[in-house]
Amino acid sequence: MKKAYLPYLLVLAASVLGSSASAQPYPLEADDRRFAELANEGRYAEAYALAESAPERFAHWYAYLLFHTVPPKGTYSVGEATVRAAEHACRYREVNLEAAAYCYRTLALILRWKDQDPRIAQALPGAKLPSLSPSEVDQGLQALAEKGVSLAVYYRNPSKTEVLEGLVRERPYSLGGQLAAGALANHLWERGNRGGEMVRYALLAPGVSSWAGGVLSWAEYFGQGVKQNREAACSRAAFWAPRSASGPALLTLALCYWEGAAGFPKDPIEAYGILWYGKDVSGAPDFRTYLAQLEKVLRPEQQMEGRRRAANRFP
Amino acid sequence: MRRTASRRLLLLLLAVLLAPFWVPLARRFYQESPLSEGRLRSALTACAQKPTSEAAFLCYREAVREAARAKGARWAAGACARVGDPLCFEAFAQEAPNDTWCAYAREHGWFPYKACLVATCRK
Repeated sequence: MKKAYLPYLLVLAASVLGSSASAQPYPLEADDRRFAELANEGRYAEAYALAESAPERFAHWYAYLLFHTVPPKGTYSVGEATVRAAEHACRYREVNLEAAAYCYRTLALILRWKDQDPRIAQALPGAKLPSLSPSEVDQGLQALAEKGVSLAVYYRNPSKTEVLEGLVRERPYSLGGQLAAGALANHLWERGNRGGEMVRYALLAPGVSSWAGGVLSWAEYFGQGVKQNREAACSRAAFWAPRSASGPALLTLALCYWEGAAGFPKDPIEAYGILWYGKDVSGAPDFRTYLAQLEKVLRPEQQMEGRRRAANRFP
Repeated sequence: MRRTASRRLLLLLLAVLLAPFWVPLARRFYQESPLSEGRLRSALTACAQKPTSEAAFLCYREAVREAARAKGARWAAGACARVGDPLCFEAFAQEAPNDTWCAYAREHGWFPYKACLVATCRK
């Protein structure tokens, strides 16, 4: 008689345990802070190791670093990185709300580009991704934004300054808060408002947000709001420029080549190519000003060589 | 004498009447001739010699437009690839009315295709 009840008791215990696990979804604030601090110090190997020690708790961070091909684990090509990041985030979307938001975000990108970008189409066969329609993905992200999940709030309000400021103020170490800090720094840079406020935002997320990293590289190059440090500026710009659409990272990298700063080879042709590429990425007038200066000294065939190099260098 | 003149007039009239048939044929022959291809290619190559990227872009745009009109968009994309200047593909992309042109750009690598996608997305 007693033995007959045992399976029922086990099922009951499992359901109680199961429901308590889903009632406490990740991430935890302390985990976010720990990971963000490691990444912002450029300690990516340790950050990856931390994420691998508890994949469900750090799934959103791990997927984000993969997407941006941050070494040592992010060794994929662009299309593959997008698909692998989506796979990782989606695998943990039931237990980690930020991972769910990142899953929806990357799925939206894949659905938008899979028929047009051959790099994504090539990476898709064999990928384990949830089968969702664009409207389901959109609704999923919206529902998470309404719950206040930082990444969903960020992706739903990319240009609403007051929403981004709120994220930075209330949850500075969440992934959404970190990206919001970078977006605010970049908005200020693009608008030519390049003072202390811009640098303060950039300093919050220079190793997480490519925009924050790009702005900080520019500030370090010119000693604007931080101590001038061209070595740090050039290596930071070289890291973020090919991984993002950061105007200040591209501008700084171009200057590193133009002036041969921080051990970079003095190469005005390379600088010209980066500026030429950057003028379409950023609306800042700096690009056209510097391009005009270089066009006075470079012959047409040198300019063409610069454009060729840039077209091959940036994805 | 009068007979020869009337014959000439008759021939001229015939040529005018048959113009809808022979003019397109002649145009097609001219377009497919190596002479025309050479002229269109030189026009594109000359753009690379412009002193600024802005001047080069405007020049490419004109040349691409003419090449696409005369020889078709696929030929124009191939001509840009021969010049080897990404700016030529940017001009091609800006002229692209739709995704069909992007398919031709795609045959010449990622950058031409990306430039075309970006340009058509902006339209």
